[in-house]
Amino acid sequence: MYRRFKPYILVAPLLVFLGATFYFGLGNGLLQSFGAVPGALESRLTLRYYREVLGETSFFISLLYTVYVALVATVVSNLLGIVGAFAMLGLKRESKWPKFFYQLPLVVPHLVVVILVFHLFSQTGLFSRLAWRLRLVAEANDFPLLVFDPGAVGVILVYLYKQIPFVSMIVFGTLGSISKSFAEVAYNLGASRAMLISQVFLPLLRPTILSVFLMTFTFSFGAFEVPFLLGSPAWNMLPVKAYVYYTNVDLTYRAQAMVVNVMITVISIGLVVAYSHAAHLRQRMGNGGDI
Amino acid sequence: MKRVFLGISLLMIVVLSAACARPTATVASDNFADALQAARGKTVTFYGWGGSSAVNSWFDDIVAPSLLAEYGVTLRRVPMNIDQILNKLTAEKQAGDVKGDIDVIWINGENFYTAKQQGLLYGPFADRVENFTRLIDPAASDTKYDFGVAIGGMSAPLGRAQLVFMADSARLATFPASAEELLALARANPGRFTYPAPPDFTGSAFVRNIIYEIVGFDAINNVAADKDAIYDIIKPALDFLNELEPYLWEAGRTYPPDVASLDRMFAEGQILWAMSYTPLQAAQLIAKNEVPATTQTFVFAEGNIGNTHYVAIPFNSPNKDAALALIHHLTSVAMQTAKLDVNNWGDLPVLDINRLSAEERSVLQGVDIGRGVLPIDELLRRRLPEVHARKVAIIEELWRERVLLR
Repeated sequence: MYRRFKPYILVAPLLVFLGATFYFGLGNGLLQSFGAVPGALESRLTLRYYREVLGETSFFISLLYTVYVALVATVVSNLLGIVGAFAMLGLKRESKWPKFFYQLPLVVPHLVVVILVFHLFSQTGLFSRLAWRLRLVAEANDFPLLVFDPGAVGVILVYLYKQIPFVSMIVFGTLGSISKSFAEVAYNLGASRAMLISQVFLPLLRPTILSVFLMTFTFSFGAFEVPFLLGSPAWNMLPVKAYVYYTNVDLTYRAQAMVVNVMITVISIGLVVAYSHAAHLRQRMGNGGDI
Repeated sequence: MKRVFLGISLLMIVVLSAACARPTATVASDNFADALQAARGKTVTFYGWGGSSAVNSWFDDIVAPSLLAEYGVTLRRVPMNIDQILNKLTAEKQAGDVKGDIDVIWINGENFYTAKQQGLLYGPFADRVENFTRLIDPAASDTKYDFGVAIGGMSAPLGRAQLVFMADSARLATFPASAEELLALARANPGRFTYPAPPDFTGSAFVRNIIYEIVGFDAINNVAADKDAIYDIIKPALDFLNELEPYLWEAGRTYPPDVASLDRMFAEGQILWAMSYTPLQAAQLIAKNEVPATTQTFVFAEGNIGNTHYVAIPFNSPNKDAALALIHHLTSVAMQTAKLDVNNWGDLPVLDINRLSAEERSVLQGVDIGRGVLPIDELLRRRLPEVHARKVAIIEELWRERVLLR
């Protein structure tokens, strides 16, 4: 009896903590999205806030804009991160310093990177001053707007700074665990280096890359503070849109805020489910399939 | 498996409901002298915006020591933005948690409207505060209304602010005295003017100031707080802002997200003007050498929006006597004088000059308000009231739809 329950007892503290914070918050947010907010207009749960939010074109503009920012940040950071991982493979095993510097950005908080990007890329930032020194621009206002800009360049730069090392580290970890004999066999059979990467390493890395891609995408899709601090006032990413609703003087707007949050959660969970489904399918088809 | 989760959730419910046990609320003493007596030895917890080091040190270095010396009350200041404070109080109200930990909050405008509407405030209390009844004019419009919302003793005024513009007289020969003059000046200096995007507090006030200029205060004050009705009234002002837009920074494609960005752009010389809801801010910036000493404050000839900020007591304040003592102290001649001093904060006083003794009056009028600012009597003369808090949010929405996203 005790043996059967032991694992559950062991995970109970974590579950209680998660339950009291994460799941309780999620449930509360879900309830509020159905109108259970202080000062609500209706006493029963209602879908009216979903109709209101999803009935506005501005929601879909925000959604598309969020997908744009998250997708650009994810695609670029994954490409560069994978290239970086292969580059690190060439390093000698005992040379730790390059890897250390490569991974340093991982421990820098997003907020610090926000300040860094602001001081480097704003119209009166370091690069603007450099451009002025080199007579590329006549004055600060001529420097292209890279923070608070509609293209969200500043926001994307922060995500790149944080995500490239993350992708590299994870991909490098998997690369390290792939047996060296694959490479030897491939070379033996007359494969070029390009063929080795495209036909041996990349297929073996595919599950890792897919999960890293989804992780980075979901993060940049749902993160709040970076677009809040560096985003354009005219173009709101979904988390910022939720915040704008939430801080409205009229407290019934909290329901709308929660609708947006629920939509973010649904999309994120949908991606995770799609991923595990795909992973499951692949496992049934046999690992890799190409080799 | 399911049963275990059921057990865990039951356990959670027990734990959570134990954490929600309800202590009883405290009430303030009826008599003010009794309240001061009861407050002695207590700690009063003040929650308010903490984004200005000048304001923070006025509270910490001037209010706190004198409060302790005169009334034996210890001040604990917690910096927090008002929207978060109201979220906290709302959550506590929802949870039925009667005893909170906030005694005094710093509040006005839309937030006061929300707090009053949601029953988050204790009171009426103002007429129980001795300095309030003795030194503040009960007939003044800002004693009766906060952004058009009837106060009814649910808050006490702490200070007065006013929207002002600043420009460097060495770079700009003439200052615009009206919206039309601003447009002409922006045309002549494309890319050199802009304003913070509402809902930034200062940017939002600027947009209302333009509405006053174009359609007049009465028109917007008399219209119902209804989006379509307000749009009909303010359309000429929104048209004006759209006409101004191509001559603004980045050709008006975007706006600075907040007033801090505008300040920085002015200090860096990117734009020719700045604005502030702190009317004596130019003196502070000049004193800190952040802007040239030739910087000068100005307002439109027809006047600029001013508002008053207040202190209030949350419904679940654990220490209402100490809260009354703090509010009494904040509205004293000594604290209001220290607050006006630009070396401390530079915030306009709320006291009625006619109610002060000759000695008190000379103390208040003897304060050096610094360089580059407008005299206080001129500010008070060119001061326009705020519109109802509900209209503020609607105007911000209309600006976003009709100007920013047009």
